[in-house]
Amino acid sequence: MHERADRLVGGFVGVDHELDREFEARLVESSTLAFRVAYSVLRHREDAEDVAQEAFAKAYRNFRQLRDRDRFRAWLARMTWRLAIDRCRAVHRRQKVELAATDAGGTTPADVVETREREELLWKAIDTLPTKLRMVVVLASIEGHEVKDVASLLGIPKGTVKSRLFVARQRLKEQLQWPLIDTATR
Amino acid sequence: MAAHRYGDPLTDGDIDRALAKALAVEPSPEFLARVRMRIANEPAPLDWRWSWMLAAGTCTIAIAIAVTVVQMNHPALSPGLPAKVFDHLSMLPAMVPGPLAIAASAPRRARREKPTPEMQAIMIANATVHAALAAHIKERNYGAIVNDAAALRQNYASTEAFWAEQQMDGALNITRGGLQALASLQTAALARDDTAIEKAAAAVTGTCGACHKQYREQLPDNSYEIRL
Repeated sequence: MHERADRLVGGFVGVDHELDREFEARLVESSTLAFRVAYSVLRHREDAEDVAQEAFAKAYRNFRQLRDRDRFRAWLARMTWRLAIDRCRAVHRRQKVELAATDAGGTTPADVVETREREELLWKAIDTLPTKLRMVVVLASIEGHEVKDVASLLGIPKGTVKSRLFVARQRLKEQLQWPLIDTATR
Repeated sequence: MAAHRYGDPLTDGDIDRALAKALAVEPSPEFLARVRMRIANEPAPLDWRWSWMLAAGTCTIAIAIAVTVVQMNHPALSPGLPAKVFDHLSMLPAMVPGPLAIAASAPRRARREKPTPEMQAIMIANATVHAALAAHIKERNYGAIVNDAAALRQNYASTEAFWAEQQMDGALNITRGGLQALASLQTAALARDDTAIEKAAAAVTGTCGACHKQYREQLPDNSYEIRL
């Protein structure tokens, strides 16, 4: 009887341990994705890190319920997105937007200001997009994702991703009439 | 390259480049360590298979108890029900341990071994330095914090070599995260930045917790083994 109980406990420990290791591997490969997804919504580094951390904690709690582990990144990206939207609504931190660190090396202060202004305008334009379009356009811009990667992350057909990307770009182009090309390339 | 002027139409490429640039942000070096610390503090969730099995076992026992109570309190009802049903139901409690035992034997148990004396010495030294570090942070003794971080970095480097030899990538990643956090701790201490010191120290502790949770097993005699 004791032997059986020991085996039972050993079984629980074995499962825990294996899953912890698997989760660690997923954590390493997906940390930047989660952070960038959160950042795309919050545009504030610390908030984005908090939300990504929260998403990982939630993912850990429910990791065992995820039967298809290959869907982890998609699952995490959606969870992070939702948490980031919630955080955004709750704290109203949009005014405290932190612009992405831009490489201003070799440019004049006027160029830096112009680059920041462009980025601000770009984010404002992205904010006006409906969630479906915004998610596609953001995920397509992270980690060099291709159409098939975005389709896999969102669990939608490639054709849908292509059409959403097309519409999103068109809308962004309509709103942005300023040069996006680096001043350095002029 | 032709310059874009205000009012020029933008191309898809322009939009994509601008977006990629705007999203090319990296999390802080301590981010991973902080996530690990958070996860190390999370209670281990029950496997869904086990949850189902426990739920099924509980239901079975509840049904068996209900049937027994009905039989005892209303003997008049029993003859009306087929006797076979009661026979089968009364056997249910005896059947519960069966699936549990099968499930328990299914998962593979990890290989474990005693840490080498060198590793034990490193862990004991780490605990001592961590205690000193906590005190130094409280005292805002920045010079001592730098020294503590340096001592821990040396130990972590030895640990990194150990895990590399064992080819344990997960543990190796955690250790490297710790090394990064320690570098940040030194930088923060040199800059006398208390907030950054707190953050980096928490990240270092997180890597300890994460590694212990995954790779350390406490035995009943309070000694430890390494899970490999």
